Amino acid sequence: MVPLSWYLLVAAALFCIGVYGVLARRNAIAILMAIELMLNAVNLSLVAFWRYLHPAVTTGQVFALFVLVVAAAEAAAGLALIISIYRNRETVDVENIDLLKG
Amino acid sequence: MTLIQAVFALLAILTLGAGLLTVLSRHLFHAVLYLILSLLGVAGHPPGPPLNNQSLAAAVIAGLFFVLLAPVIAGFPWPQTTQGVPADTIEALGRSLVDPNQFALPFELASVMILAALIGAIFIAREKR
Amino acid sequence: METQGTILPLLVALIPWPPFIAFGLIALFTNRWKRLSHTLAILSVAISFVLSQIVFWTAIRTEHLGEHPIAIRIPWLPVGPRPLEFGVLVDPLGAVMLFMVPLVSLMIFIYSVGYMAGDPYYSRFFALLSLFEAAMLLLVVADNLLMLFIGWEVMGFCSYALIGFWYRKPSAYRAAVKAFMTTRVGDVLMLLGIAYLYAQTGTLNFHDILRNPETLKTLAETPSYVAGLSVAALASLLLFAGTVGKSAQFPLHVWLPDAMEGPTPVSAMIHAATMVSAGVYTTIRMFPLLQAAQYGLGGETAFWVVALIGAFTAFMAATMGVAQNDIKRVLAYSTISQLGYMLAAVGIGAYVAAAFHLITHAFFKALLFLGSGSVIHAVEHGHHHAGRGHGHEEPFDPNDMFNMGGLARRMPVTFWTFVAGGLALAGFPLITAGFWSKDEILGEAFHGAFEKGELLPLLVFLLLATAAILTGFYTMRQIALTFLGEPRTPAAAHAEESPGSMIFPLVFLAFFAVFGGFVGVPEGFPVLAALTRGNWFHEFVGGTLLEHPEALPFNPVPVVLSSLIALTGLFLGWAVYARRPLAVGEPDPLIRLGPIYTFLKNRWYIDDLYQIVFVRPTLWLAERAVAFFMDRVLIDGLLHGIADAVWSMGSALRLFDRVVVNGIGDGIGEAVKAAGRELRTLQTGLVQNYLLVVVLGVLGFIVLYTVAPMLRGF
Repeated sequence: MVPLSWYLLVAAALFCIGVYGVLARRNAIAILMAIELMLNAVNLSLVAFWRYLHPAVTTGQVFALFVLVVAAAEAAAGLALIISIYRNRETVDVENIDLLKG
Repeated sequence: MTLIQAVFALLAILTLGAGLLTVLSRHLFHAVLYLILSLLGVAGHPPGPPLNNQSLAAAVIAGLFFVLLAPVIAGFPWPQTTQGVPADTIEALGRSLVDPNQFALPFELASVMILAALIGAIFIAREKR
Repeated sequence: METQGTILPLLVALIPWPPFIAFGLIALFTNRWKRLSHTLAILSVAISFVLSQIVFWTAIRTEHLGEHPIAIRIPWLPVGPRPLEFGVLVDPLGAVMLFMVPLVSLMIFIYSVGYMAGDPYYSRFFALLSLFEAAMLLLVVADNLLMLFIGWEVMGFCSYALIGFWYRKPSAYRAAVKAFMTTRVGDVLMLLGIAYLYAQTGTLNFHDILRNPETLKTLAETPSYVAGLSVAALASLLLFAGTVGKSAQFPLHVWLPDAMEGPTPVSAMIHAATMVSAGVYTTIRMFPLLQAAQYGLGGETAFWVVALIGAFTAFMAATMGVAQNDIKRVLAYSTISQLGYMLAAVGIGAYVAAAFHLITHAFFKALLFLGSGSVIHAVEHGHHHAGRGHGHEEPFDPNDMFNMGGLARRMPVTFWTFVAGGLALAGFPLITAGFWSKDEILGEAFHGAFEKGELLPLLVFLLLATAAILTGFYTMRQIALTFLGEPRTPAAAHAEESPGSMIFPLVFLAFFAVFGGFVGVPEGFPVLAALTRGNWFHEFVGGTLLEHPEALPFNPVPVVLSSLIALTGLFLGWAVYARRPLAVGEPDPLIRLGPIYTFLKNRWYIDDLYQIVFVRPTLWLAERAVAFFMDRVLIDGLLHGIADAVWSMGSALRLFDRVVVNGIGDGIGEAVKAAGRELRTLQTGLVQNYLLVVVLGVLGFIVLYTVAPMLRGF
């Protein structure tokens, strides 16, 4: 049996990788993808907890499902925003999007 | 390490590797795992450096994050359950989604939310006229 | 003290007011309307004249006017135990003054209309003259020394203003200042006397002091600790000092001849009939004080001083008058001389004689001045008519008698009235007023000298007799040079008689110059005394004093003597100037007297002496010491120093303000700006940066909740 903590560690690692991506990538879409990574990491730990702690009820699965749903919606909205920004600024490099600078 | 564990490790490496690649790869169209990049005109542009100015600090912090979390997770006495996984999880899952006593409401709300997100996305991304 | 009902005293109190009101009206309102101005002025004097006449004719009918004068008084300034009062007093002396002053003044006012016609400052003239008149009347009716002094001082101011009337002329304003300054010397001493008297008696009222035997006795016996004199003597001398100034006696006589710079009516009024008489009037008023003093400490010192100054001045001025060429200056010295006569009379105790001469002199001196004005006027106009005087040739002096001559034919009325006045002045026997008054003085002196054997009257007599000869001489000289012979200049040849407004007063005054003396014919005078029923004047005026002075028994010797003296003087003058009148260009025969003539002509060099001793040092002091040093160096230095100090302080504070205050203000601002600038870098506008910080924060919390408790275990 794989110990729960292993799954959780993986999830934690994935999450941290996502954090790094969000903080360190220049391309807006790349950042979105990193966010999806983080959400996936969360899903992973959710499922892990369900499997190891309360496998009888469906709650864990449902939660993970809903997380996915939210991720999808958020991705859609995020992409729409990126498109709009691209139309205005001709770029998706977030280093160039600093209107709030100062 | 048992076989399962080894497999897990392999999968984990794969996942993580993919994740890493996602965040590290230069060529974005290589890095499609969950998303479609077709709207990007960036494909036509010469790829620039993938990382921004605070990448080092970000790496440090992300690393620190993991370093702090890991011991906690590893050292936590997780409770073990003896419950087995029921046979028809998918059916149970489906039922729970439409059962008014369970998650029917959140299900409906989720669909509404997706609708809103869709409409919003369309609106934001439409051509200026 | 009883009053004669209340109407009469009120009338007396009203007398000074019409001219004062006229002054106010003219000065404030009627400047532009010349006719209105002179009408107001003349009207006001006329009113005062009428009131005075009413008072006079009532007064002379009053029994014992001296003991019960027309008087009224009201309290005024509450100083000390008894308040200083406003009041009026008309005793015999005051009554005769009230007769003379408004009358002569009225004549002069009328004369001024003609004389001042065409002058651009016509209204101002009448305003000042009115103010002057008010002041003189105030002085005459005053019942105490304070009111008298007020009138005195106001007259002094008017004199200054009127001497310097043509203020653009440097000689005029210099003369005005000289007059004011010189009389000031006397005025200060007089004020001291007034204060002293007040301190000693607690009152300044004439009646209370001069008719109160106890007061007089006390004053005479109280020592003043000055030169062994009693209070009475010292006070008399101090008050007399005022007279010396105001009545132009030696040594303060120098201002009067220069005062001739003023218009002739001014000379007539102020410097013949009224203001200068005021000085003598005051001394005559204070006679009881002098009299009392002679019985006290210091004895007769006061009398000696008064008499000798008077007599000496009479003599001195007469000698100076002999050598003058200016027609008005001769009269000025004559005035000084005659005033000396009056004071000499007081000095030897001839109270009534002094008052008598005061009155008669006012009439004929005013007449003479007005006459000289008429001449000057005519000669000036003659100068213009002769085609001169349009600014192309040498300056022409219309006052210079050597530019006249032959005017008797051209100006008959002026001539005859002038002769009347001149003879009165010289004391021509019997038919001139001057004779009677002068004779009385000489008679008193003679009596004292030769019948009582006293020294002072002897000295007085000798000096006055000499002066009388000289008086006759210079009078005749003046008449001859001005009127007799042939005109010496075209101006004189074109001179014409003056207008009616100027002639009328001459005639009027001439009447008094001739007949005015008959009120004072001595008792026992052959024939005439019976006609005039004795010496009314002596009877009346003598009643002013506590003890009615004795009238001298008639003695023909002094009468004959004074007649001879007068005639001798006149004859000498005639011999030198009139027997063969001087022709054009002929010099004054007096020049043959050589250095004596020069000495006299330069007025004994007294003016020059004063100039060196007093005037120049004072000017030097004013200029160097005060103006330069005290004012510019000290005061200005102080002011500039303060200004500089304040400036420096201000600059320092400004610096402080700039550096510190602004520094702090700006510093804070800059600090905030800098902080803002620095902090603003946090606002990169890059969301990722913000997120980094968020994650950092989360990390921090994790540390806090996980690591920290673990550490606490140690």
